[in-house]
Amino acid sequence: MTNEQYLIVSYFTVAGGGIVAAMATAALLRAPLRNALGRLSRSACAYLGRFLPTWLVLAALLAFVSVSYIDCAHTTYQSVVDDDVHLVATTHRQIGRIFTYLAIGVFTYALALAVFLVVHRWASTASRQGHR
Amino acid sequence: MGEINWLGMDFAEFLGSALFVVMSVVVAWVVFMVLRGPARRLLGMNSRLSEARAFFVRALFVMLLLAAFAVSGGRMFNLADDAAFMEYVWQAAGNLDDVLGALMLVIGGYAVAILVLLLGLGRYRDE
Repeated sequence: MTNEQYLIVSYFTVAGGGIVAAMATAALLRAPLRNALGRLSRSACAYLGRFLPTWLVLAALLAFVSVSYIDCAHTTYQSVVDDDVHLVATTHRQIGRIFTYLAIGVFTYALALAVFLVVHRWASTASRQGHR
Repeated sequence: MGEINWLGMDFAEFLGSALFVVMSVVVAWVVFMVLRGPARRLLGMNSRLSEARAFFVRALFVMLLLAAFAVSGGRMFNLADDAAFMEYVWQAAGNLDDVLGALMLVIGGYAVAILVLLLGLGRYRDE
């Protein structure tokens, strides 16, 4: 396999793998998320349920495109393709960053969900007390 | 134009990387098993959060796993062709340093977030 073929194959494989990893992460959290959202209205439940995979796929894609092959030592396409160590290192950096962004995505989603659940319960308790 | 293996590394480096990924996942799993019970109890302190307890515990597991993958997937075993076995072990130990650091960050961030939420809410029961 030439360096250029490796670059093309690894680039699209990592991009596809990142999307699959995001969908797998969302699938792993889907069942407990559905239980957590059980008491909410159907529209809120559907929105928050659909939001998670979208959020994670965007995080994975953002991580993927934020890694560049071009740097100080490799300013042209030819210099990137000629350096096989740089190609492999960049691929690893893309993989590492995708998982880092996915972890951050899950963390921020969980934090936002906690705040949302607390505010929702406060609001529904306050409205129940207002009706009495 | 240069030639490159489809893995981007030779077999010994691939084996080292694969073993390192497995080792990182095992460490993340052990950390999760140690923390699972206390995290469940902590989240059960407040009834506003307790209904989503299963989600938050699963989220902790997923974050630990992703942090382990992030570090182990982003590291290379870049050794000389005639590298000795112990050189691979040293490289793995050096990389494990970063895995443990990432797991500590996840645990720390998670604990701080939950504790701040619980401090803000206090113990809450509906009845």
